[in-house]
Amino acid sequence: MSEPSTTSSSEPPPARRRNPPVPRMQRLYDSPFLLLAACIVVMFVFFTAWGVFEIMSLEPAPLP
Amino acid sequence: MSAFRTCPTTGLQVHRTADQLIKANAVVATVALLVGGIAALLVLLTRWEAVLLLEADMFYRMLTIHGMNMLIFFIIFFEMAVLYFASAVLLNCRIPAPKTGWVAFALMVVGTLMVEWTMWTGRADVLFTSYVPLRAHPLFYLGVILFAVGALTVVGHFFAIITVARKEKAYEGSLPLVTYGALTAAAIAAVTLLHGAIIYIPTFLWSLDLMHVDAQMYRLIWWGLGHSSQQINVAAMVAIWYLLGALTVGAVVLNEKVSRTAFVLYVLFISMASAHHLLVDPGMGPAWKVWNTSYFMYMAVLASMIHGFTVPAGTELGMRLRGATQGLFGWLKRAPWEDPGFSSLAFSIVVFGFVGGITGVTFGTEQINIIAHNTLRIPGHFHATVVSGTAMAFMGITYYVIPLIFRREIAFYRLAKIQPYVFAIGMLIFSMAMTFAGTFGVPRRHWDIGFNQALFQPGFSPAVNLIIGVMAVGGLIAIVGGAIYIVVTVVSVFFGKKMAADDSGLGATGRGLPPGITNPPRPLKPEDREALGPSGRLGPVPGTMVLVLIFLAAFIMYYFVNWMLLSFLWEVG
Repeated sequence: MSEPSTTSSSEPPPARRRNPPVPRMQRLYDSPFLLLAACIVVMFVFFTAWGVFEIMSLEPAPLP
Repeated sequence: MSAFRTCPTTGLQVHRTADQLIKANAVVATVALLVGGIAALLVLLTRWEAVLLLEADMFYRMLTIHGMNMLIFFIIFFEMAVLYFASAVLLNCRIPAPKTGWVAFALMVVGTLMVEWTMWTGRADVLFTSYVPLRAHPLFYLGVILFAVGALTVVGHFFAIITVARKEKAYEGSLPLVTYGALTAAAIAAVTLLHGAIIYIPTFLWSLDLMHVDAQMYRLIWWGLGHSSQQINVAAMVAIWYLLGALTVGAVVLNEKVSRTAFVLYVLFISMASAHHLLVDPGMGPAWKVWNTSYFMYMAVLASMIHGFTVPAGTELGMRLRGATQGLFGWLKRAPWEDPGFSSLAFSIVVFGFVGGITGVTFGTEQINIIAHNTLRIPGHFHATVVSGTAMAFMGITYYVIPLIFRREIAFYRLAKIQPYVFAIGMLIFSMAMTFAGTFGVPRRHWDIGFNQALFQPGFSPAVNLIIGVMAVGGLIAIVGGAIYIVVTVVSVFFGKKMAADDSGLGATGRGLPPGITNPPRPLKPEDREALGPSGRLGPVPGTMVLVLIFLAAFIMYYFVNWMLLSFLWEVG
């Protein structure tokens, strides 16, 4: 007599069980070009562009 | 001949072009280290006022050569080798554009030679910072531009390699953690080198009298290159920490999410540390300074503290799982201290964290910076981070790269085993003495720190002479350690005993191979975790927890001592 099957029809196929969906944050972390873009944008906005704006906004010092 | 070779030790398929590019970049890096090291000796013997070896013009020339070779050429050539290793080798994939790799390398070498020529012939005595309006020969700036373009091309090549590797299914899922660390370094390198191009192209034109460059604007953009280039080091160094931990003792990664999040914090925030150099500049407002050096920078500090915990904790857990369970520090007693890879790793973490990290965060505080800025405390800090941290880690991985990539045994292996100790002890004495001297107000960069012919006398404490003497002794010990490293690597690479194509080194005795190759850590089994038993009150890594508490106590103490020193200058009420 054969063993009863333990797999119900509602369960996902084995292939899908082996590959659960990748969490959103992991997908973000796994995007090399997104990381590259984030690195460049954050630095250029907060350090470089803001710094250039600060310098450009300086009033010329009055000569003695 | 196949485009790939199989590494008999790791089983990895190594693209031969990657092999050659790693070798070429590593060799040039070592040459730059030698040149920078010779200049270091001359600078040190001049800094030591009891010797005062060089005249002022030669001192500034040698300081320029030392800075450029150590902080730019040695470090970045080595990092290019790390990028190829962490991508093509660790991912088992091909180099998609070999010619591009060689063109980039050639650009970097030509740029380096141009800069070297201008510096050695006295045409660029402008120090590492080359602040405008100090003017160097145009070829100095052009050389830096060529070097930056070459390095930027390698960074682009790195991104191409990991993209091709994914498309060709060389790996699935997430990148390995070490490659992820290299990716972090590559992203920071891109933003760094872009700043280099943005500032050096107009400065090159300025040197030809073709345009004007504002001195304050130069300082702002230049530090986007000058300090961020040292943040490439930090990311590459941490990636090597994880690699050395795995190679030498089979360290485990405690939590991939936490370690990767720490790398992402580097990507987003670490480059802002550049603003520390402008904390006393009147042109920049307090909001810009505080935002960049505090709110943002502390996120990168958090990342460093995460790595500073996870690497030793992973090492401890990996060793406990393999049976080193005695007491709090039994794992440290059983660690392979005779392995130059492991000892380099340990010293790199300790000195980087305890000396470089603590001082860096303290000096980065706007109020405290006013008493540390332009004193010897700053080079004291960065010799603890860049030299004792990054260069030490690079030296440690070299002892594995020589047999795994160059396929040679390590020459003078007994010397190689003591080299990390000599170098680390020397650099620790050197950087701590430098920091103490700076606490007394001794300026950095000056040929004559006593201002002997000046209209005023700074009136340093007599203790300064003693501290500078201790600094010189420490520096000389470190230079001996660096010289041993250069001798060992050059002799190994060019004259070392060749390893046969199928020689894994496994089980070998009496040969110039580190224990991580001859007797690698055994793979972990599920039952190892059961054998470890339940954790105590300090968790599964109690030894590291105690070390972390000591670190935090030292951090708090140093931070508040500096506020106390500041209160001596600024009386309130």
